[in-house]
Amino acid sequence: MASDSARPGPLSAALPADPAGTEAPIRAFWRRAVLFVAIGLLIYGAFLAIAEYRVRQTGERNPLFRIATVTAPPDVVILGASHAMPLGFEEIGPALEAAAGRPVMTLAIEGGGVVPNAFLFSALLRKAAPREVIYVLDSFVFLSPQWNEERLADSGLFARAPYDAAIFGAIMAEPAAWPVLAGYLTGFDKVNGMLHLDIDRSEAELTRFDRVYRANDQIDSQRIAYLFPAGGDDLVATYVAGIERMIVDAQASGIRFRILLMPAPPRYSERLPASHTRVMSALTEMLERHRIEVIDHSGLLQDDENYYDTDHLNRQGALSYATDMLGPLLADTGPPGSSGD
Amino acid sequence: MLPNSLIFLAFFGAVTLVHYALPRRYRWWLLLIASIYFYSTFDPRYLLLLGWSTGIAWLGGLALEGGHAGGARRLWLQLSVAAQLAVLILFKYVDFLIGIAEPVLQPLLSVQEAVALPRLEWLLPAGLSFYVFSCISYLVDVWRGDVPAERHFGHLALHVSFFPKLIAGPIERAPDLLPQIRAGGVFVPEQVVFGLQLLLWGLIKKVVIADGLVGFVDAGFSSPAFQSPVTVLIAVYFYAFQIYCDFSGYSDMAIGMAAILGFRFRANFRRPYLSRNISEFWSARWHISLSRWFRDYLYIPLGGSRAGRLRLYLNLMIVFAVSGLWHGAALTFLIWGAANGLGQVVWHMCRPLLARIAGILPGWLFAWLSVLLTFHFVLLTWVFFRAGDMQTALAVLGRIWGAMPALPGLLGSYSYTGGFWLSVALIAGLILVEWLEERRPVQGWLPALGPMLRWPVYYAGLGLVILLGHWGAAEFVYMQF
Repeated sequence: MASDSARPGPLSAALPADPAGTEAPIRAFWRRAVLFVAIGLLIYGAFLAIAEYRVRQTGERNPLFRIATVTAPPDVVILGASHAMPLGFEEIGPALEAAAGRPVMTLAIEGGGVVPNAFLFSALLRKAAPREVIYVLDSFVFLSPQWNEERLADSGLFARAPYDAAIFGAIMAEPAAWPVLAGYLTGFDKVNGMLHLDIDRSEAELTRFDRVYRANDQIDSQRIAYLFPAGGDDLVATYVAGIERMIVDAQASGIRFRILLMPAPPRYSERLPASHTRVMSALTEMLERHRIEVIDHSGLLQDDENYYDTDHLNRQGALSYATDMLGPLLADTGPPGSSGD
Repeated sequence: MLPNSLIFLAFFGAVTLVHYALPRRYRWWLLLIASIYFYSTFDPRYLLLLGWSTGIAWLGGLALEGGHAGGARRLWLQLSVAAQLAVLILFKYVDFLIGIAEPVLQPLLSVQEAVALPRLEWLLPAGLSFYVFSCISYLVDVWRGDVPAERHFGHLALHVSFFPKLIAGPIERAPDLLPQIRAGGVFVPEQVVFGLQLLLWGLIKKVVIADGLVGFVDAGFSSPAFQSPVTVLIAVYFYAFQIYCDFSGYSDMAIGMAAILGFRFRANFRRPYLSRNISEFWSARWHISLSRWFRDYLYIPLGGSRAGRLRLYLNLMIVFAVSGLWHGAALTFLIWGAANGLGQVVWHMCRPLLARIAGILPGWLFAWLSVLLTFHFVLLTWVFFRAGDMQTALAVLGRIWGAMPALPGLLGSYSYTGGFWLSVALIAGLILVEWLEERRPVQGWLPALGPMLRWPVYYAGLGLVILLGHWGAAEFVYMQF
């Protein structure tokens, strides 16, 4: 670094030498620049057309794709984070619909807290109103913007979002989504991801869904520490208010809104920290005020053979849950006011 | 707002258009406001530190030029530099020093339990080391009379905070940049084109190559004892290119953006992995602006190579140990710096032997062997730079070393994904480009080509960035310094 015997020669600048004054043909430069940009835009437009076509051809699970391409109003919509995602995997979705006897659309997203789910709900309402919303509740999403504003601002979320007026409207209506507006309008995220459009399924569904978890204390503790870091309680009220707005909107549209606590193994639920309890007590008061039913299935499917990791249902667990537990429950309770309210 | 994000590029485009729309004498205003806004997007509270460093540099510069006697000038210099270093120490080194003090205090206090002192746990402001060094070099330059004290606070503030270089350099020197700031940034089409080329090349290095390697590197360096040796080996090789493309990519972008705005920065990297020895690597090819800083403000004042061989070795070790700590307050960085210093010492000691070997071997063979040897030495030291702690660094080296005899057989069992081969192809492309650049610099032949030949190259580069870029995925590694 400092050996003056090996000192670089004259401190050669990175730039070329000064051109001969400012008499350079500036007008010609701008003409070339405009032509270069115009050709570039044409090429980009071609890429964008291909990317949009591929998104529409290969779209499958992505919630924004499902909203954009919805043809008939779904009867039941399931919102939530990764715990709810298996309800839409492969044969689980059809099995759930068969058991419920009603069309069910799962819009859950990995790491999706209240803010991204409210966004999805807002986009869906612009297209079609379901008869019922099942919100799969995870207490950890009330503790950090990571699962909320930051997740919604994640441009990757929009990489498979087709152009759609409802999605555009939802972006405009939610300030937390504004950072992705430019990417969505220019289609940059789609073009950026156009080489990775083969399979529109989550990594969990593709590689882990058939696994059976072998309990490990260290991994369980790490998982809880990751989901429930210290602090963050100050945000609970904000996100409880967010879910309350969803409930008010749903009720105003005549949509039944229910909260679902998914099955969780005891080695997971017994480790839940005090912040979980605080979130649940803050929610309970609000849910009671709005007379929202809470379906507590957290005590079901307690064996590890039903989970592919610390806390997510595997194929066996999800199938059993969809056909024997959630499906019949959705079938029993019809439209709003019929029962359970 | 990370420089590898679309929002930043839009911000930069808007600043550029307004910059050239303004009369030259007002342009510094815009650039200063833009720089302050840019820095505030990380955390507005950081502006206080930036303001402190700038204010101290400005007042210190004026005091140094205020006609004081020699002793008073030296005192002003010491006070100003100490005020700069205080910020650095407080935000970067206090917790590290507390950590060192704890085991020392235990026997001193004659207590049974381990001493646990409270930590500050302050978040290190982005780019702090860079702008503090920039301010110190300004103060020393004024003290030496290399540059007159800048009376215009706004011009000096822009020199310190100019956004293309604010968070990770290059560490520009006042005699180079201040006159350009006063001139206001001149629109020169050739320079703008050059800047755009460099900006594109920097983006390719960062968002296409470096960020594509992150997953492989993280896999090898997280719990290396439980990873396959091939995973760890790949992580070590890929990290060499990740850190290079990440940092030099930022430098290229910074130099390119400055050129687009009409400013000239010095080159900060020159194909470092083609160095034939570790001295060349540090003095002429890797992070050149920092090397110059240490050379001019530490190594030469220590006596450089003029005070005998032993003193030369000692000076090299001191400079590189300090350089290691400049990068981070951790034992791993100290070891990394010391290893590089030791490498230089050994190289100096072996020069006669190397000259004899060079006389025996064919020139091309000696050159390639030198390049390979230097690269692998640097590779080895990067393990300490990347590992979060000594335990991880030793586990990485132990995992590779322990499996060395079986490695050829293990290579076949690794799961070679499409992403892996894409990364290998991109690295091969990078090496090819750098090798060609070494033989015949692009600036020598590219501008001479017509648009029909040049533009497809640009569109291909843009295509790479748009189709394969990992946008906004990762911060620049050197931002943490």
